[in-house]
This record gives sequence, C-alpha cells and structure tokens, in this order.
Amino acid sequence: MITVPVSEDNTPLIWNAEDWIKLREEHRIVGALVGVLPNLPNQEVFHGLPMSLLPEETTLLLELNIICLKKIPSLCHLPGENIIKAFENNRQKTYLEQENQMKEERKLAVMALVDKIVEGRRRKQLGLDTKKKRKKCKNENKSDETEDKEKIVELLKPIEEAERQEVLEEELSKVPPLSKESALTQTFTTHPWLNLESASPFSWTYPNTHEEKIKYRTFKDLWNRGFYISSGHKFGGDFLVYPGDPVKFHSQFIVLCVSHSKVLTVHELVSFGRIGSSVRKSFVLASSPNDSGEVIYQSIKWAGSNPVHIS
Amino acid sequence: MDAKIHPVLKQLLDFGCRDQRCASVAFAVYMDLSEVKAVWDLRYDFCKDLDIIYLTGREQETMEPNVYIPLSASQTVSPEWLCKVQKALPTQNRGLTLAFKDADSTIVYYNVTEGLETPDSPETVQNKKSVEEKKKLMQAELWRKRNVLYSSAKSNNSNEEL
Repeated sequence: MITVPVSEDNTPLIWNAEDWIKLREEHRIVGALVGVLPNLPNQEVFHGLPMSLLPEETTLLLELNIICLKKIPSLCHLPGENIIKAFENNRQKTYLEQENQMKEERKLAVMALVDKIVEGRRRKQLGLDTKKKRKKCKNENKSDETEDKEKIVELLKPIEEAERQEVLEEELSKVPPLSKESALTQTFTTHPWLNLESASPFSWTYPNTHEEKIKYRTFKDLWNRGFYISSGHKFGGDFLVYPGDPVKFHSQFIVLCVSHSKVLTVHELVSFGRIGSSVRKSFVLASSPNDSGEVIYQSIKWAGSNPVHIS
Repeated sequence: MDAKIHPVLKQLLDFGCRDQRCASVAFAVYMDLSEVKAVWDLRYDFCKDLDIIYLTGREQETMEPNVYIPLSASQTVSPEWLCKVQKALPTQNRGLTLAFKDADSTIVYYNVTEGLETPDSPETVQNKKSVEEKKKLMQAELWRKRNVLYSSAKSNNSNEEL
C-alpha cells in the first residue's frame, strides 16, 4: 500500500517517482503534476513531482485499498534542528566520498604512468636523450649520437618498488583538494528524513454533495471501462477521457456531469457541441438517474450545416 | 386567410401540440429538410406522450432513417428528457438529431446519441469537407445556369438544351 501525505489544504500528494509510475502504469491514475523539475526550475512547460490526486482518484484508490492517506505534521512546518544537522552531515559525507573517489581515480591514473615517469626522471638525471633535448638538438642541427653505454644500462635497471612508491606519493601530493563548488550536491525530491511516527491517519470524506456523487460515479464508471481520465477544466467539462495513456493519446471525450433532471438551454447545448467539434472531441453529458449507480451518457456532436451527403 | 395555409403546416397545427411554438418550428425544419437538405422519405408525426412533433427521413437513399426533433432556441432540454425521447421514438441506436431554430430562422443540427460516441476521425472530417465542397460547387453551378434552367422549364422543353 502506498502512503500518501495530505497537504495543508487537504490535497493528497505523491512525492515519490516509484509511486507515481506505479499508479499510472498499474492503475491508470494520471493525477496532475504540480511541481517543478529540480534541474529546470524556471519554466512551466514541463511539470514535475509532486503529483496531486483528483478527489475522485483519491476516493477510488482508497476504495481499492491501493493507498492510505496520512497527515504528516513534520511536512507542514520548517525543518527542525535535527533535520538541519542531518542535512549538513549528509552533505559533508557526500563531499568526503567524492573527494576520496577523486583521489582514488587520480591514483589509478598515476599508477598506470608511474614507470614512464621514473624513466623520464632517470634520463634527465643521466643527461640522456629526452624529448626536450632532441628538440634542442634539432634546432641546433647537430645530433648527439654518442650515448654512453653505461648510462643506458643505468637507465634500463629494473625499477624498485620504493622508487615507484616515492614517485606516486609525490604526484598525489600535487593533486589539489576537491573544491566545494565543483562537488556534486543532491537535490532531494522526497523528504529523506521523514518522521512517519508522528503521522496521523486522515479521514477522507469525498464525495459529499449530490453533484460530487454524480462526478464520482461517472469517474468510476469511466475508469472501469478502461479509460484514462484527467481533469477537464481546460475544455469546460469535468473530465477529459483518453483511450490510452495521455502521453500517447489525445482525449476523445469531454465529459460534463449533470444531474439527470438538469435543465439545459439550447444555447448551452450548442456551445457544448461547438466546443467538441472545434477540438475534435465528443462532448458528453453524464447523468445518473434515480441514484441507482447507473451512469447514462449523451454524446453531443455538431451535425454540420449540411447533413446531406452527395456521393 | 386559412385557405392559403401550407397543407403541411395545417397538419402540423392540427396535431394539437400544447406548445404553440412546436408547429411553426417543426414547419421551418420540415421546409429546410425537404427543400434545402433534400432528405429522402421525409415524414412528420406527433408523439402524444411527449407532446412533441418529430420528423424522420434518410440523409442518403441507402441510410437508415434519422429522427429530427425541432426545438426553438428558447426551449430547454434535460438528460432525462433526452432519454425519454430516445426511448419513445423509433431511433437508430438511441441517436437523435436536434434541430434548433433561431429567431432569424437559421437552423442548426446537433446529433445526440446515448453512450460514448467517439469523435470523427481526421479522415471522416476530410470526407465531410469534400462532400460539402462538392455540394457548394453544384449549387454555384445551378445558380450560374439558372436562367437557362428557368427558360427550359417554362418552354416545357426536355433538358437536351443543357
């Protein structure tokens, strides 16, 4: 079961990416992302976690025992001293880990080169042919072919472990410490030190009114038919209904929930039909006669100014 | 006066619909369907239980008949009423066409079908558009040749002149 914290204004919020994908893929619950992306905070084209749940989604998930709601007091006020301390410790810890890791990698790199470094030093000491010297010779147009045999023997002497170690330490001491600015820091997307002990169960009462009951019944009926459902405020309805994941599909229906005896003027019907035809969706009125739980849909479609077909 | 009344309007009035607007709106829709839209097998009838006049006709010769409900712009409908009408009248798959007549006598048609009717696919929309264009073209052509058509009709000639 997924524990869902309820915000101060009583909206259930999903903070965890695993919970979010589980609800979407396994239960066709889309919700609405209301947060910003941690790495793109200055835009509102792409939204990030948390995901807020529609009241209908919440009631359905509670009914199916998929989630439980919790009021978590520590989420409603600023972090206390302990949390701040834990946060600072964590940051210091990750910094040290990164510094050690950096040293470790530098060490491996030097170790791969240590023999060459030793050889170079020996050449320098013995005054033997080095790259620099060769360059110099070239410039002065004279070649120094007469290399002392002894010197070459000296050069090819096997390298002692102690010598290697000495060079290694010397090279490693040259490595500058990792600056705090270039260290990576983690941006938390969920509360890492959440105190769940202080959490109290939250009693969810939706739906209450007659209108809310119609909306919930409609939502549940559409969900049971295998549709994906999101809020329909953008198009003047209660729900938008998708035949598959909204990432891959356009919605097909704008559903408006009304009471079965609701009196609609012709103007209203015309505007519903027009909205639907202009956005290529069917505008659907959902109502439920005599509280039986059955939901009846009426699809309104503009028949065009010209219903006559000439083939 | 009443000697000049259109026979269809007279029959519509004789149905005795309690709503006075019903007969006149139904007549306007009847004229639009028969003269402008050229609907096949256009019929009109009165449903006593619902106290409404409705029309039936085929949009194409091969299509199943459609049920048209004339409504004036000042009327109201409810989902309950729509259900009743769909059940009481000989509809195809609980589908109705509501014909709204505005004060300026323009009529708009909306299909109301019980259940979730998926919207037209882009192909269907394109087909509908091309059909409308065809019709427009035909009307323009008729209008252009109207003088020839009138004179041939007057002289009772066959259309071999065209």
